[in-house]
Amino acid sequence: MATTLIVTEKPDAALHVAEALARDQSPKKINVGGVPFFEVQEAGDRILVCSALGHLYAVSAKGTQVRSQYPVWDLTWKPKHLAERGQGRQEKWIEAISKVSKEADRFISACDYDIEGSLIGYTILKYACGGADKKARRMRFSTLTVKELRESYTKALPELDFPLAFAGMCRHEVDWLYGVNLSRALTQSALKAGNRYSTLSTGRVQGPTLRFVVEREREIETFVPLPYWILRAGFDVDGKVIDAEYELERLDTKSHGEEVVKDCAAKKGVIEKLESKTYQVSPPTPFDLSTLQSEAYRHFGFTPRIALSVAERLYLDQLISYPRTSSQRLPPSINYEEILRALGKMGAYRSESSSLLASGILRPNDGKKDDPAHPAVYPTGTVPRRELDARGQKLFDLVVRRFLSTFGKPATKQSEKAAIKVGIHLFFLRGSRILEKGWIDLYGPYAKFQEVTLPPLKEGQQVTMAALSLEEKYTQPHPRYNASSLLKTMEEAEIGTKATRADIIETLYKRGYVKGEQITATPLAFRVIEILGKYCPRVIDVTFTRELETKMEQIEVGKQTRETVVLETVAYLKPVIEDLKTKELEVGKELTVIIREMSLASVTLFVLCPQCGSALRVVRNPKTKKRFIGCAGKWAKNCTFGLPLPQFGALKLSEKRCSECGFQLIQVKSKGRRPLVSCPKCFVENLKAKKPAATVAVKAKEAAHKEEGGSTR
Amino acid sequence: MADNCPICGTARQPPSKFCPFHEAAHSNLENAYPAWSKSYGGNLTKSEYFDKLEKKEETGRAVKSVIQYLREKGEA
Repeated sequence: MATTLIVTEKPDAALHVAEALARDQSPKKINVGGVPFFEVQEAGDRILVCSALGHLYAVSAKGTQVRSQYPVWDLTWKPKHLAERGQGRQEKWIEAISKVSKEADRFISACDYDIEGSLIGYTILKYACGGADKKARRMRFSTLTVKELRESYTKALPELDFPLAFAGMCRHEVDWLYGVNLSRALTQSALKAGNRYSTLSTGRVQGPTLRFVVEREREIETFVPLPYWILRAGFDVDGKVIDAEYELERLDTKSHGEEVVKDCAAKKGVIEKLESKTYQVSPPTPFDLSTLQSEAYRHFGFTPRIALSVAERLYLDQLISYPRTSSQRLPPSINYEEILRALGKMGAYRSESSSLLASGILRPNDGKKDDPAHPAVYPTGTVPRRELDARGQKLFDLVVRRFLSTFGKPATKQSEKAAIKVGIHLFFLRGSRILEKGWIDLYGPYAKFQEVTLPPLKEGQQVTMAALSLEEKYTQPHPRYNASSLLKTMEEAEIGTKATRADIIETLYKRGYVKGEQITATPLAFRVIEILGKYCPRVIDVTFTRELETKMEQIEVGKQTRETVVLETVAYLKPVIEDLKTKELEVGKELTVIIREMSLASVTLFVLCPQCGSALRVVRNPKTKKRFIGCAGKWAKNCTFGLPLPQFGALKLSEKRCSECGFQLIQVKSKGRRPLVSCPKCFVENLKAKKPAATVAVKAKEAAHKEEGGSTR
Repeated sequence: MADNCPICGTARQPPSKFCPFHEAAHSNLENAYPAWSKSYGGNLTKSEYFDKLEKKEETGRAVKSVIQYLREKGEA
């Protein structure tokens, strides 16, 4: 009896693979040192399915190194628990997989079919299974449905997808070289100059991404608006006033606008020309990951990271296909009809599915982007086994409706334009309406379109001008990025991967480089970009980063080797880091000023002392070490104002004011508890009045909003 | 001339008296004045121009700092 060991990426995937191979039986769950394995008997052979916990191996410095030491150029792959902190569970997993692999004759990687998945499978088979990577086969699938898993098992590729795995290795190694050396250079410089530890980081993709935000902030901060004027007109048509536009969208001078108003006063208008245009609007293309993230942000306010994590949950629940895809294409092999029939069994999509099935030929409106590994995101047609949470329901509905709409007929729209002559001036009435809804009906609430219907009009018809006003306007700077638009900018610049972009944006928040839903660069971000621009400009150069991306992509198709790219990276980084090392104090001084200012700002309230008008700050009593709000006017003005604060939990000054007294609210977060928001002033006043403390638990809604990148971040 | 920007205290970029950031704001401020003046029929004084910009929320914060500095120095 032969034993096959199948390695999957996540525990849910292991269960689905085991269930699919067990056919009518239930897979037997066995426990090896606290790690679950699933055992299946197939044609007299034994199949053991195990899962990883994401990456079990990571890049690390060769030998034993102090975390603050840099530069480091010698790298190796180590078990994750030896390379990074807080990865204790991984040790148990590696031991169990290693033990079971000794009983196995055959090996299969069933990790997600992309760079990361291929790398996870490869490193486990190579390091934990004693070099089994050389004889292992590869299951390739895009959904976790029984049918596809069985097929991918019987038609498993004869060997691992080495080019993908090597491309993944290279990406990790290059990123590690950048991240470790540059981040340690910044952190150590600040520590040496300021004698104060502050985690600073940058990376191959993080640097150019932060630069986008800083450049936008710089543009906003140095923006000078220019005035212009617009004319707002209204014409009375059969007793109804309809808004009209002036022939010039903008007028550069006020006098020009005043002249037009004077010219048109008390004059009637004549409809000079009527135009009507009918045109078709194609259905949307199937979802690739970034379009899915962008639509999820637009309709539900999900950050790209949240959208990806919800989509991955839906994938693991067998409800949708693999979401980390760049493809906007749905191949016929996924069987459109079968999926539509299955969706038709779910009440919400019955009529839409029936109408598509009855329409005859099913052809999705494929987009331009393709991904050799996976098709676009689509629903599998599997009915949810459990009730989905609110986010899951929303995203599932979006994926299903997008899938349905992509098979829909084009929508037919009509635009109308009436040109009205008033003296020598022209005004336009515009209308638009949908003649045939086509795919718009299928996309449901996600297809937003505002109709403006014009009343029946004739050329030569006289109309009265009911209103004409001149309005002063100002040019606007580009808006700040939000998580979705920043992700799109990264994608357009071709930096990062679909799997990493969302996490990089999150890191910018964690490091204190950016804040707010409308992403604002902090002074620290300005300083870091300034320093990197001064000492190692290529590190934040988008073109350079993109070139490196291209080289790494070439590894996937065998046109470049991992070794060459890593050596080139070291050759570039070595002089840069060595130069930075000699300028540690100089760099550190520049960083320290900002770190101190930001640190002071983080403890300074925006409300002033109600007794003396000085600044209020969170301070600690040097003897008791207790924290409280103290007044900066204590010594200069003899002010005695102070407020007590909660002594436990992480304290943060909220950007909101108390609805009762207007004082600044504070937020305290303890491990495993929801954040508590309270007003320190009301707290004291209520104590004096012997009322219960005015502490308000942050509502689930607010917490969820924050998680989704809300303004309370 | 001092080595630092009179607004933020960071290193100035000669020949400007400001740092690169505030110089960009200053330069935008100067460059936009002719367009503003033309928009108001050529009758807009620099002081009126600054007044209008200070009231606009679209005006960048660095530009407002430069305006404040120029006013304090009597250069407006």
